[in-house]
Amino acid sequence: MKENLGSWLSYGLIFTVSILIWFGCGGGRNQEAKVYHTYLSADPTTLDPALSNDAGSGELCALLYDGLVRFGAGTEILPDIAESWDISADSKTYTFHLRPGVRFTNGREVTAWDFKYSFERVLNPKSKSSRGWVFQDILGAVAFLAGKAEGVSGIQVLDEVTLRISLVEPFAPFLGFLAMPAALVVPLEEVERWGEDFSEHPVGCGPWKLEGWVHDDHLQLRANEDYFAGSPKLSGILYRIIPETMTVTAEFEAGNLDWMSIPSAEFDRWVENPKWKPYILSQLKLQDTYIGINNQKPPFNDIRVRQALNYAVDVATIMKTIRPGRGIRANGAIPPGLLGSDPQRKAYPYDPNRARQLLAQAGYPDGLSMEIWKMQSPEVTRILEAVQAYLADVGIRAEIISRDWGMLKQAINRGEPDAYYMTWLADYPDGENFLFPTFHSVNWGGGGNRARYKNEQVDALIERARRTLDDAQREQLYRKIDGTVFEEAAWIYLWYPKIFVVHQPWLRNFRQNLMFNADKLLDLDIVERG
Amino acid sequence: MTEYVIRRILLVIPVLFGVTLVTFVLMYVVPGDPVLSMVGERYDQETIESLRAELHLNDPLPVQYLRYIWGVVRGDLGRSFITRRPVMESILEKFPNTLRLAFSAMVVATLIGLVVGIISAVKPYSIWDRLSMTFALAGISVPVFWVGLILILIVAVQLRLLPPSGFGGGHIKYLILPAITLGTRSSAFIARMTRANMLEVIHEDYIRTARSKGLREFWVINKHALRNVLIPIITVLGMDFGSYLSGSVLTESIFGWPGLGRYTLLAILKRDFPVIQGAVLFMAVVFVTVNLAVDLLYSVLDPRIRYK
Repeated sequence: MKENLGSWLSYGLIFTVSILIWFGCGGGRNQEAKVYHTYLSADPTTLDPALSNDAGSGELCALLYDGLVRFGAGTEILPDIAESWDISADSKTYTFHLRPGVRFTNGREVTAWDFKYSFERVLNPKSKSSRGWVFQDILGAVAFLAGKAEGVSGIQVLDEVTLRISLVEPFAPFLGFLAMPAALVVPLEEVERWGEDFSEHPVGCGPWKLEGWVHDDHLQLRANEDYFAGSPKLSGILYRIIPETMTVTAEFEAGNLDWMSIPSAEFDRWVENPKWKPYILSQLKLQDTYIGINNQKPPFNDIRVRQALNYAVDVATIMKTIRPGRGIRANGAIPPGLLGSDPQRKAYPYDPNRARQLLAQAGYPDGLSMEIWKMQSPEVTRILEAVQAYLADVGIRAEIISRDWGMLKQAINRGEPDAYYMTWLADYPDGENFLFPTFHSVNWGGGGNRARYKNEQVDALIERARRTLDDAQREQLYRKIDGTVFEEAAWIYLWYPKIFVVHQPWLRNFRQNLMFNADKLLDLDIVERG
Repeated sequence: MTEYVIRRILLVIPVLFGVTLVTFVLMYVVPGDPVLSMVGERYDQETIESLRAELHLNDPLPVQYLRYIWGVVRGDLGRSFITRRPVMESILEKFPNTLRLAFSAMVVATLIGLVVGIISAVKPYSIWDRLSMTFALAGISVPVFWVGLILILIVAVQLRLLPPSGFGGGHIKYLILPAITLGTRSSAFIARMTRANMLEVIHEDYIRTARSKGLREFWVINKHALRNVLIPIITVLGMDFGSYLSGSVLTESIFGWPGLGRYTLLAILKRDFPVIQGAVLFMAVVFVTVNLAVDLLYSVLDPRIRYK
């Protein structure tokens, strides 16, 4: 029997070894010295700028295409293909002067006509773009969108290198809109050639070109050596699609990724490790994390109830225990660093007695019941369970409802939940992005005002701020608006998140920017890959 | 036999028709709007209405269903609402990856399961038996994601023998860890079934006869006993293979494997109707094909089974 057992073991061993040899032979991933190895958590939905509406595709589109202007590392707007621009005295007309000699990667020179075509394409319903709102302040855009005009009257080509854009009324953040992915320029002939498949064959004039795309696995970009601002220092970029954060960590530790965002679960392990400390960077995101309250739904239409919710939750302790060092307590909707944020304004203090008093004044001395909806996420669950406990302490019985993103979004936009956990990320670095979409009453639901906040005075002030080009005046208006909404407690204000990233020692000029699509990766470099 | 196969194939048509109908109705019953997934975080109602019209989502449901079926008949599963890519192209791109992973997982499961099960059965109640059954119990109990992460940590990060994740352009060394991860649970089931059935079979008269003829134990087990044990194992393998072919979301996510499972899950989360429809239909085809293949395999393994 022993001999038989030995035979069976040999049988198994031979098979296993053969399989391993069969599987294990051959080369590995091409670790080309000057190729930047990065990652995304999901396959980009598109590489067509007109259709881009998520951070992953926006980041990639910014590498493949250029626009009139682009975001700098902070809040500044820099020239891109437009080397300069003039703004008329009434602040309604922008005249852009394009750099001559900028070429698409198919060899054709970029002209003002390409911008007119690209902007009108976003507005054209046939393109199925959801970013028409980016250009809706341009004269004639609404008529074009409604099919009542052949073109947008406010976009005029004066000559091959001069583009004039006329607005319906002065609009302070307009240049920021033009730095968004939807405003990147595409060549008409390539869009018409590929039709709905243009995203698979993107042709832009950015510093990088798409070399290959294996969906849900990786994308390869190659440096555009003819880029008008000079070829990037690196020869290529390999974007890998890695959905699991633990796998990202393993790939980084194995040296297969050049950087990674430090996962929440491993925060202490990385930031306290002396080996990695010199290579850790942090960046405050232009993002609000908040619990939206349905301002129209009784009893939450009573300011006192909403204020009570803010006083009842000890946000500072939640941050300290669940997200230590990874955010700044929110004292309004406009994050620090943006025009209009107010460092003097105090966040709601934790004051359960004040919360009980306010509830009693509002007619709820015995507390009330409410639902807080959220998407499925372990960290959000931990946060909301803490919130739930604090609310229970003042007599508010909060039930946490988990839904997938599709259901959650639909329910919130219809105004169904009493409250919901949400974040709001900047599309452009201007305080207006945290006020007009989120609190103006024309934007209830999908427009961004999911709390259904309504205050006619605030509406009027927001409209005035949008028309005010003077920064000092606009800052005062933004502060006043943000302060009023904060006082009226449209949300339970939580925090402005901070992200931490770690990079490999061989990366040079690796930066974190305020906007996700700011970096063209022109001067990023690699020295002696380990 | 041929008549049986033709009958089975014809029966597939109403099954697939039913699958498309049920999926279609379910998608519209479940809350969630596909257009909301297309538009990002900021949009206006006009955009929503215009997209609905462009995608024919305002048409009556029967009209939408018939349009879809007409497309299916012509081999067109439509385009994804989210990525605008043709669904058929995406499925055909991902299915070979899924097939590759499923097949490798089956190889791992069969090899480990049979070897462990046989060792356990030929030496019952020994240390080998106990070790084998401990492996089997652990294999069934331990979650897939844990197995995957531990393998990555030990084999890829600590020992650096294999890459932690990715598809690696189809290179075979990227397949080993996902295949082991996916195959572990099946291998544990197979090991337990092999042991149980083998213990029963090796006490049968015909095995005693084979031994009395002077056959070596290796051949007694391999040629006479194992063949009779294979029928229930093939059933388990068939079921597991069918489910692996429809994608293995956890394994694919952990290893960043571009397969059908993750593709379908993301489509469900984003209410990407054409992708959900196409993927479910494709999976249904795969399931009925594998089931038919398994039924036919029974008659190959056991000559007593005949189909009329």
